[in-house]
Amino acid sequence: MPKPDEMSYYQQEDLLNIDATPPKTGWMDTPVDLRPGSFIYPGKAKNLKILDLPNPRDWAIGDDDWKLPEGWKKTVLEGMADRLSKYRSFKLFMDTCVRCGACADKCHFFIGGGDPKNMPVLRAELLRSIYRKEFTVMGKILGKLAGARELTEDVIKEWFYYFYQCTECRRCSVFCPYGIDTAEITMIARELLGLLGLYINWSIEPVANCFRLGNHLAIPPHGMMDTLEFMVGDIEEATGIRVDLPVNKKGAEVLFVTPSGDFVADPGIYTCMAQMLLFHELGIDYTFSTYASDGGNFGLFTSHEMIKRLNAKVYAEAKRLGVKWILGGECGHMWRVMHQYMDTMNGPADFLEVPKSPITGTVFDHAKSTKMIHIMEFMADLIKHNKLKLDPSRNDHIRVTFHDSCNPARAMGILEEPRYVLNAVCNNFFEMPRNTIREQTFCCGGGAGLGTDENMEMRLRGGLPRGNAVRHVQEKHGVNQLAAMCAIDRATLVTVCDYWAPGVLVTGISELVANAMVFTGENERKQNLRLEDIPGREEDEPREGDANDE
Amino acid sequence: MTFGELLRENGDAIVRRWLDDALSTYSKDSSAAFKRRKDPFGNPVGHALRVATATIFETLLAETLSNASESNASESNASESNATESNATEPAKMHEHLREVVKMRAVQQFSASQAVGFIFRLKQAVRTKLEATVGDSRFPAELVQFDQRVDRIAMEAFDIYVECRERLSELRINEVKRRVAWVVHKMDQRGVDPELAPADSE
Amino acid sequence: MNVLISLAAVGGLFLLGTLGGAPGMGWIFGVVLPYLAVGIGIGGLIWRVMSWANVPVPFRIPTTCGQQKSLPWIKSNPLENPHNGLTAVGRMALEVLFFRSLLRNTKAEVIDQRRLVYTSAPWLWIGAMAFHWSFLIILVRHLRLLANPVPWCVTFLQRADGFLEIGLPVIYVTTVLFLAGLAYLLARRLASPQLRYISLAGDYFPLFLFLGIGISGFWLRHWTKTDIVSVKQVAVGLSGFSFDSDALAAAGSLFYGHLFLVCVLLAYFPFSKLSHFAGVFLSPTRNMANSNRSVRHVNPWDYPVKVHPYDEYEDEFREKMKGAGVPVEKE
Repeated sequence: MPKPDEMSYYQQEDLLNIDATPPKTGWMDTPVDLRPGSFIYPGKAKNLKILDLPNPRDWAIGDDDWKLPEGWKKTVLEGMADRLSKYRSFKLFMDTCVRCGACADKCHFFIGGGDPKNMPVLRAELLRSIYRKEFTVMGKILGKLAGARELTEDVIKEWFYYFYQCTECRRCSVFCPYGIDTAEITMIARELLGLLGLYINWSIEPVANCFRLGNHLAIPPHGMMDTLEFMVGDIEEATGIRVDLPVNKKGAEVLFVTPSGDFVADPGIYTCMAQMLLFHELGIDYTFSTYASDGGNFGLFTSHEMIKRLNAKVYAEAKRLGVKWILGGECGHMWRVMHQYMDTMNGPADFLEVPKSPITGTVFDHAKSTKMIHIMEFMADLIKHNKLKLDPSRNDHIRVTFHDSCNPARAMGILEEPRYVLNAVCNNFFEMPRNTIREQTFCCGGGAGLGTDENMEMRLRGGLPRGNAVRHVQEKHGVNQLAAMCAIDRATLVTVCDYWAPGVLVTGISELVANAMVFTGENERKQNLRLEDIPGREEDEPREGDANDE
Repeated sequence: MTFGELLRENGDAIVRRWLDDALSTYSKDSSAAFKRRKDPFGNPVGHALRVATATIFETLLAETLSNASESNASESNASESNATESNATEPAKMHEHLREVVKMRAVQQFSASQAVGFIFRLKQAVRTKLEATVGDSRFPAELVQFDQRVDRIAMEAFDIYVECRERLSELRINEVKRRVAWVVHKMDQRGVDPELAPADSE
Repeated sequence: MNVLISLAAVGGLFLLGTLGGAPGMGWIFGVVLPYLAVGIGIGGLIWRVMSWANVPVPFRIPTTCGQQKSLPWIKSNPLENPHNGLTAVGRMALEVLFFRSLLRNTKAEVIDQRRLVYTSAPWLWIGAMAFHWSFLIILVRHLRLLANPVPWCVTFLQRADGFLEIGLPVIYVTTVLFLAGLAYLLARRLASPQLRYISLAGDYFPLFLFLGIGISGFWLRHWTKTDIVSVKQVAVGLSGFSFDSDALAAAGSLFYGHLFLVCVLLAYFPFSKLSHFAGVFLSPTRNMANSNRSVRHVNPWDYPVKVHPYDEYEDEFREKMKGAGVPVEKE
């Protein structure tokens, strides 16, 4: 037996039992290893039933038998054939990839975790290999040599595992010379899985909620009144101003649609309060809706049909209430739907008018068909025309950086508006490194229906590139807040920052605007909307009289 | 040549070998990517490992060298104060880099032993490289001492690992709380019928 | 495995092609097969493009890589985020002519706080540019064989290409770039474990095929004394539908090997990943304008879906809504 100070003692490679061997087999022969901490629990039968989706049943990822419906293989192949004839994107992206590898190290899940099947090209090959086998001559004749493989139950499991490890953020698509968009491939793959009744509960339950109650969080109309009234109370406590609360108001000029996360979840609630204050101050004739109470649309993470089913309520409600145009809040994937899908799916919105700011008179021509504008476009216009009285020094204790949310950046291109607003309301704004912002922004790791907690490890891996860049500006510029105009970001980046860059808080942009705004009839502002003392202003004793709902 | 000097001489080679070993805990395709790109933002994992392995080795080297000079001239006060000085700055930096790496490995599908085990690979790297240079291991006493230092760092890494895993569960709980805490608090304040509370979406 | 099979296939095909030098085989390898290959190539390409073009584009889904056109005082970035057809054409031109998206990888980075370096990624762009552009110019140069008299632009291009005036006959710059680009693309695929992992036989085969064509072409020009007059006669014959059996017999085995690989390439590309050169023009994330909110896009196969209308919603919650003070339609 060799002693610890002898060479031979250390030559036992198995000393620590480290799994250093790379997969010896090609990726097709490497079976999927479903790891807890990476997968999300399956959709419950009750939710599938609400939505009339096929094969509702209760099952678990760990089960050997996923209880696929009879003839599942035929269902999948017919589903593929159908989509190949309906989506040029899908057909083209199946054919044109040259596997140049430009996308390989662009995915946040691959960068943070290193699982080769998280390279966008390989994620797509999971589906492409079946396409070749069943739909191309080369694949039928040459088989594996042409990169084709048989559709088996293991392939379905692999799809489920990896297509629910894609956040549809489209970062890879920016670098692809043919514009191949993995988000598009993931969407189709999830549709195919859906044909077999394979969903994750974290997206299908919000979808079922949204279908029945109008929002993902299952807030009933009276519950929504309650939370909004609580906000009215908190606003009064912070500013001394009592704002009005228009809900389902017929004949209002503007319908305000925002993600439902902002109605209940911290810190989204402060963004919602800020917007209520802003509308009140400017005297905008707007209304919330309890029926169209979510701009967010988890249908995007389920199927194209589901996007349309959930999105229909927005125009329907605008028509019922007789508003002139629609204003959208700070949300990421909601804006992908509103910008790229809503008009096509549920338009034309010929009963609405081209959005026109009642304050500045600006006509938002770029939204002349959809008739919906982003709150940052609206605010940037207000600030440009000097319509907001701002005291940015109230935010002087904040050193802020800005996270571009994937969809507004890569499916819309709203990059300058939020920066313009931030610069107007904060004196200390710092950008993260260039290859982590704007069109190259990194995902929070929890988009596309993955923002739950059972896959926390995976989310933190995926959030590493973003967290790492935040950490960088934290060290370099003393950044202590991260602004993001997305409700999923406001939920998931809090966790990402807590782990990778502890000490950095997450905020909406509107919240910073309201904290910097000087309102008519406001009290001496000592507290922000979070009812925390504003540093440098807390020297006076807080006045008891302001608190209202004690 | 003393053990410390030998270490210093072969420092680059040892660290390179150690980094290779550590990276090989990822699959081949990934480790190649982690190794190739030097950009700290495009490739945080590879960058953190590169920096951490280099700093840990530097720290250990400094300790070994100062230890040697201490024993050689134990009477000399000057060298002693020198040693403590250099030791005071290095460890803080090293802990920070070690923390970065372990933090990443704590969420990367490794078991606990896999996550911190890469530290022990340094022992092997040192032996392999020294053997290649001087033919045999002529410094059993120094090696044992060096190993003990490596063990100490591994222990530290393990502490960080456990801390990170605890943090992970904490974050899970916090996130679930944040979803409803505000509303629940308000409801409690007002004594609203709990039936009206928004249903939790789980 | 994939590498060896592809290499063997190309080698085999080349040897097969040299049979054209055998007596009487000139007619098959010099006339029949080229026409067949051109037929398959053109027909296949039309079929391939139609197979894409016939599929509708239900949604307008451009990937935006720059500022949108919104408020007039905010500077938009029309080439990265086109807002109309014209700017979309501009974006496509950058993509097709200069591989804009691949170029995105070139970024100056500050490493370890201080040093400024460039990531290794631009090499892919450089290799791809060298290969694709040289290929195009080499194709145009070959027109001098097919056309009589030779168009002035071809002569000009040929002269410009040989400006280095090294060797006799002159070595063209594009020949060198073509082979160097190919060698890089192949070496990259073989050297990086990451790329090896994702590569299929269908990725190696075209590389070897192009290399085979390039090397045999170089050989024909610089090492073997090719009977250039016969070759030109064969080529002009092909384009003019008049054949000369003497020229066909005199062209030489090596020439037929070269020609056969070209035929294989012509017949192969519509059915392989090489069709990407046509596909890129049709890519919806690149060729569409981000005018989503100003011009309505119509989905040709749109169909009605089951929704949850407002009245059903109100029916379910009417009493609660009234209790909470939310206005309702029916009292």
